[in-house]
Formats: sequence, structure tokens, C-alpha cells
Amino acid sequence: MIPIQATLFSVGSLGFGVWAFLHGFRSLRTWRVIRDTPTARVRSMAMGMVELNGTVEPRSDTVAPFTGKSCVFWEVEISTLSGRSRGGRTNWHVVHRNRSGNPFYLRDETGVALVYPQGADVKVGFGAEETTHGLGVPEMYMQYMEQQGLGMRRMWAIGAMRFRERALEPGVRLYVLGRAHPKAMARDVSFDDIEMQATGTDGWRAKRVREVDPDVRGVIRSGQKGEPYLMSQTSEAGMTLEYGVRAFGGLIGGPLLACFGLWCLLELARTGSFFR
Amino acid sequence: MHPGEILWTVVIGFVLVGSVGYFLSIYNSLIEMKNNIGRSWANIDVLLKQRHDELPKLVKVCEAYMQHERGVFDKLSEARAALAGAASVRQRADAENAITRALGGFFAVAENYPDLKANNSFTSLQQRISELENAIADRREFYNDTVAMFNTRIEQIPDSWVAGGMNLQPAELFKIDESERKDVDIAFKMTA
Repeated sequence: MIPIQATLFSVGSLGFGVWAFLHGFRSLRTWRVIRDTPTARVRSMAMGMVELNGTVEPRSDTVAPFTGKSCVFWEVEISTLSGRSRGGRTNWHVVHRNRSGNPFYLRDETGVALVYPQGADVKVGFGAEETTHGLGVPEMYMQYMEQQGLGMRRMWAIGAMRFRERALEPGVRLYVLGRAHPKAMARDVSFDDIEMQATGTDGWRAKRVREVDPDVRGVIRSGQKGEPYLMSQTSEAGMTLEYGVRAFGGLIGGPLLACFGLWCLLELARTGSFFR
Repeated sequence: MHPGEILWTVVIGFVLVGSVGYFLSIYNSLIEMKNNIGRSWANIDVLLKQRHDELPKLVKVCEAYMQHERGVFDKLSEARAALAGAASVRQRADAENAITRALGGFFAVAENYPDLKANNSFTSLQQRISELENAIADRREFYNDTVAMFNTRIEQIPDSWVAGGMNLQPAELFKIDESERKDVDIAFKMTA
């Protein structure tokens, strides 16, 4: 390894180690909250931090932008190729990320809650992924980028691009850890079905909202800054394991990496081969 | 400073910051759990208060029909009065279990009065009390889960070291009445 690379590697290790160490504390907090919060039932959930398990149901017409699937939540990610490692691994640089913000219902055997996904850390696998190899991208992606006003789209399309989409389909089981708030007070201004139909705005979804919304026991949304807000298709045990590995990996592995980076830097300084 | 000394200083720094941060996170999570127990109990208390408030209404609706059932009214009012003197979670739980038992007896006796069963106020009160009892049962389960987690945590190492320093004591569970756990005797009389 030439000295400049060695120096950059050492600085990188030191920086990443410190970052992993600090990030380990954040994961430790989330790990503790997951572990220490018992699973509540929707019917009797208390306002404040709650952990729920239920099945998702749509509240509005939400369609995933790339696959056109009907879903309750979607998230897309567009990346450009930033390079290839020596091992042949491709490195992608995310240039655009977007997600739906429509609330959806979470139902368990005792009741139904309304979930606002804004600000949530959603752990759902990417169900659709496509890579283009340059010189243009399929029309649907181009249209999406145009709708989003991504000015660099034509330039990106010259090189390789990756399009990924994750979607939560109705009926899937979901684990939610977030803050429960009381349902907003709302009053119907008209109960007359015939009158409502005459307005032409009373589709089956609107009817469904009118039927289900009164049964909503509470609203789950993001809480104060720094408070965990998670949604996952993985079980609670899986989430506990994931955050435990992240926390202890960061708290132990981070300092080891940082010390190694520092040791390399000190060695480089000792031999006088800094940036030579 | 010698490079070895720099490295050791950094290692000791990480160990110190890591240990302090780790123990602070234990301290904070124990405080959070302790407050969660208080919150879970308060959430049960709200429902118990609501159920408590429904009792005089129930008595008022039923006394006209059940004039010869002084015993069930007395049991209900005794159980309600016992609640006033309850201070700890255990005493409160005992008093609430007595109310649940008295209510069970009350509704069983009410079955003998068809006119009362046909009364709208009675049926809506019965439904309301039944909904409240279901919600109380759910919240009791949640409260007990929270307490069990807390009690386990304060006995585990290294959390027990921090809990010892904070003088944290195990919290009391909201136990179900023994009579509610007993198997119901069902005897079938076969006639030849």
C-alpha cells in the first residue's frame, strides 16, 4: 500500500470507528426501548410509547410508483453507480429517496389504530429492484423522475442506475414501536348516504374511512426528536437481536477500529511516511 | 508524548466514555421503566374510576326491580367502601377484585328479573361495565408485563448494580383474584 492510501485508510478507520462508537449508543437506546416495552393490545393501549403487532389495512388508495402495486406504504430509492471495488462489488450512491405519507390502519384481534408513517424507520425488504446499464432507462422510471423534478435525470441515465422499491401490502403482519396519541376529535357533518352519494365524492374508500375511523382507538406517529419510531415485518425478537448487534458491535468494534486507525497513523508518523 | 502513550490514552478514554455511557443508559432505562409502571397503573386507575362511577347508576336502575335482594346490594356497597381505604397496589387490587366478584353475583341475580333485563338503561350499563372490565383485564396484563420486566431487570447483572445504587425495589403485581382462577365445577346429571 502506498503511503497516501495508507494515510487515508488510517484516517478513515479512525473516523468510522468513532462514528460507529457514537452510533452504538443510539442503537443501545433503541435496543433498550424495544426490550423494555411490553406489547400492548390496540383496545387498551395507553397514550405514550407503545409496541403493537397487527395486520395492515389501507385507508386510502396508495399505489407503489414503480411496480404499480396497491399498497399501504411505499418507499423508493434511486442510485447511480459510484464505483467498483477490487473484489468486483458495486458501490451505489443514492441520489433520490421518497416515501408515501398516507396513514394506514393497523388491526389486531382487539381493535384498530391509525398509523402515520412519517419519520418511521421502516424495516421492510426491497421487493422490487432493477439495474440499468447505461444509455437510457425504462420509460416508467424516466416519468417518475420527471414528475419529481429531478433535473439531473438525463445525465444519470447515461450511466448505470439502480431503482429499488419497498412496499407494504395490505394484510401483512407489522410490528410497530412508536408514540400513541389520542385520536383527533372529528364530527360528521352529514350522515345521509344518499346526499353523500350525490356529491360524487363518496367512493368505497371514503365509505370505508367513514366506517372504520370511528373505531380507531389511537393514532401512532413519531414522538419527540431522537425517540425510536420503528415499523418492521420482522418479529420483536428479530428487532431486539438486530439492534443488540448494532449497539454492541458499535460500542466494542468502533473503538477497536478507531484504535487500529490511530495506531496506523502513529506508525506512519513514526516512520515519516505521512502523505509522501 | 510517546505514540504508545497516545494510544493508551485513547484506549482508556474509550473505555471510560463507553462505561459511563453504558451505565448511564442503564440508569435512564430503569428510570423510564419505573415511570412506565406508574403510567400503566394510572391507565388502569382511570378505568377503575370509570367502573366505580357506574356502580351508583347501576344500583339506582336496579333497586326498583330487586327490592328483595338486599344482600347483593350490601356486598356491592361493602366492596365499594373497601376501596376508599386501599392504599397499596395489593390492597387496591384486592378491593377491585371484591367489586368484580360482587358485580358477578349482582348480574347473576339480575338474570332472575326479566323486566330488569328488558330495561334499556340496565342493558347499556351492563354492556358498559363489561367493556370496562375487558379493558381493565388488558391493561392489567400490560401492567403485569411491565412490572415483570422491571423486576427481572433489577435482578440481572449489571443492571442490579445500578438498581442497588438507586435503591429500587421490586414492584407489586396486580394479581387476579384466586376465586377467578379456580376451575368451575360442572356436573351433568344424566337421566336414564
